[in-house]
Amino acid sequence: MWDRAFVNRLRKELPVWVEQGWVAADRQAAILDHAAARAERQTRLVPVALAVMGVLVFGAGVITFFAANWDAMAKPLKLALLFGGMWGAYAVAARGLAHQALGARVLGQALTLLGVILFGANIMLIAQIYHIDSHYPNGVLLWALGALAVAYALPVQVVAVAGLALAMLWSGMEIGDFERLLHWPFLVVWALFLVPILGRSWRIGAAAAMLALSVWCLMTFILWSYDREGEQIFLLQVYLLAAMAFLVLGAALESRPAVAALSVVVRRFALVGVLLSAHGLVYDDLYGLRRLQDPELSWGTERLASAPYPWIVATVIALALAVGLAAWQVRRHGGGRVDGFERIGLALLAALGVLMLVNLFLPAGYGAVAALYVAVNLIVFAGLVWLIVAGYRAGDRFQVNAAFAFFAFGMLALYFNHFWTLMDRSLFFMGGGALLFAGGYLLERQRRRLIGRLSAAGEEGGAP
Amino acid sequence: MRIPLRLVVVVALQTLALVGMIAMKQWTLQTGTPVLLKTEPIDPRSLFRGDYVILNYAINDLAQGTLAGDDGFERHDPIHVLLREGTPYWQPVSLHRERPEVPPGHVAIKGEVLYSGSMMVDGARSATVRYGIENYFVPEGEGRALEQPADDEEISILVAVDRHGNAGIKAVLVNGEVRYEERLF
Repeated sequence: MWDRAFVNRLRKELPVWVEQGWVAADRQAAILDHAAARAERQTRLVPVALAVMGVLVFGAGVITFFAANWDAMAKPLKLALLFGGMWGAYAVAARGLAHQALGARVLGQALTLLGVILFGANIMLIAQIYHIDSHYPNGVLLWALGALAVAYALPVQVVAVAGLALAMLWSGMEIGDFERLLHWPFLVVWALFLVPILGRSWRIGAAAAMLALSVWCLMTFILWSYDREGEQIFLLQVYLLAAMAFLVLGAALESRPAVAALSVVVRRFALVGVLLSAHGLVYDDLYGLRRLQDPELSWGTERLASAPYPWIVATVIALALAVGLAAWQVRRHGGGRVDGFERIGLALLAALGVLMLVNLFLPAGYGAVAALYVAVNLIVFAGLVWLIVAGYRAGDRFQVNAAFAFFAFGMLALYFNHFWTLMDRSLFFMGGGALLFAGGYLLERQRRRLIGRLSAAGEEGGAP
Repeated sequence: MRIPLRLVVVVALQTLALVGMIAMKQWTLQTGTPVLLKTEPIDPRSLFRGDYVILNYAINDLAQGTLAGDDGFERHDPIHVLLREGTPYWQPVSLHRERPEVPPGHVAIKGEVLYSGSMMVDGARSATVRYGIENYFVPEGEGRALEQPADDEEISILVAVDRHGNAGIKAVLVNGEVRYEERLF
């Protein structure tokens, strides 16, 4: 919206609005300045995007050229080209970054990225020249650490994004190719990238960090599905609690001016994490119900007698973190003023926490596990409805849409779920539908009350 | 700190990392014990990929149980293989989880178990081990000579194994004659 065409149109329209008396004459200049500044910020993205694309294409061309003529070169020449290219890119980048002009700074950023790309190419080519054939993900790790050093030293966001992508690639190799069941070193590197991202309030960097963490969680979950299928349910529980902790952290960021811009990014990714993890809890096979019902079944997840010790520790830590952060956030906002709706949310959270703890120690009997599964489903769907309502109350369209979408996915999953075929499915959905109607009625009643209260407050305050 | 100065520090660190890669390799080659290893007939399906040769050594496939030392290695476990000097090729003596004492005339080479128990070697459970000396880059077009040696040609590899168990290829020999030799420049 804030493009130059809009500013030009505004420039033509504003005198008419002033003439009509809709806008005060002395505000005209301020409005135009504001719109022009917004448009200027937006147009900066175009040269950055073009410069980054140019650097990527140029970098690819340089690498291809060397590759085609590689055998004909002597080792010293190869090394001179590798080091010279990298040093040259950084030298020109330094001049650009130190400059005041926008174009020079954009070029500086693009050349810094080129320097990082060439550092990675140098790792691979030196490994080739000297026949260094070690654990190959380490090469990608070294590359990511090189990008990390640049992200700490220079205000170049695109390098942090590239570094996070490399860290994700490194961890993907360790998880996929070397079957590292829990590749926790990724979390260390990931956390190191957070320092410059938070320090410089990089929004795209924050989104990249949350995306990288999400992909890492997904890769870990997939490997776990093959290797430790009975433990998937415990992993999902930890994911759900960790995502809740991030949700609270995201909300806490909002009150700190230096990082407030990152709040919405963290909250949205965390919300999707909460919704995805909760959605996973809807599937009966993860609880081992199919094999508990039919022990002769040759497929399906086997229910463990109880959770292995590390899962108990991990769940308790994640639960304590989520609850502790939530309590801290409630206290910061004047703890006494928790309304009825918020109390319902806290009660649902507490119930889910208790069920998760019970799940860790539940004996592998069909009746007990089925009861737990039904209880978790009820809490999950009640939680989704709560999130939709909370989204309406806060005017958060993203939350309403996301929670509603996962409510629909969940219903669809339940419809095809084996467990519910054992019950009268129509009865289940009729009951669920009745509950939703009741929820909708209560929501509408609350909305009217809220609007009524706001109107009354407005009248008392003399607002029009 | 000003931007150019910060960039100098970063470039110095990155350069140091790259030089470190070369230095570590050269240290292994310069200080390591030279060990001559026999290359097995190379699998024609996966021998030459691009411009590097895949080398398959006799010590890549080891029999757990028949060799002394530790047993029960699993996929991705680190492993130390004690080799004894032979004429001309060095032979595996024992397998270890931790670096063993190295008597005179022996070296301990470090590796990673790629597969375990997938096939039998000498009637015992196998362990396929990777030492980081399995790939050798050659000028484009020259890999074929190593890929399909003539009937009267025998290819062997001279490897340096340093005191930490790291290995690097020093030279590729054809009938005992050096064909490719590793140099710093």
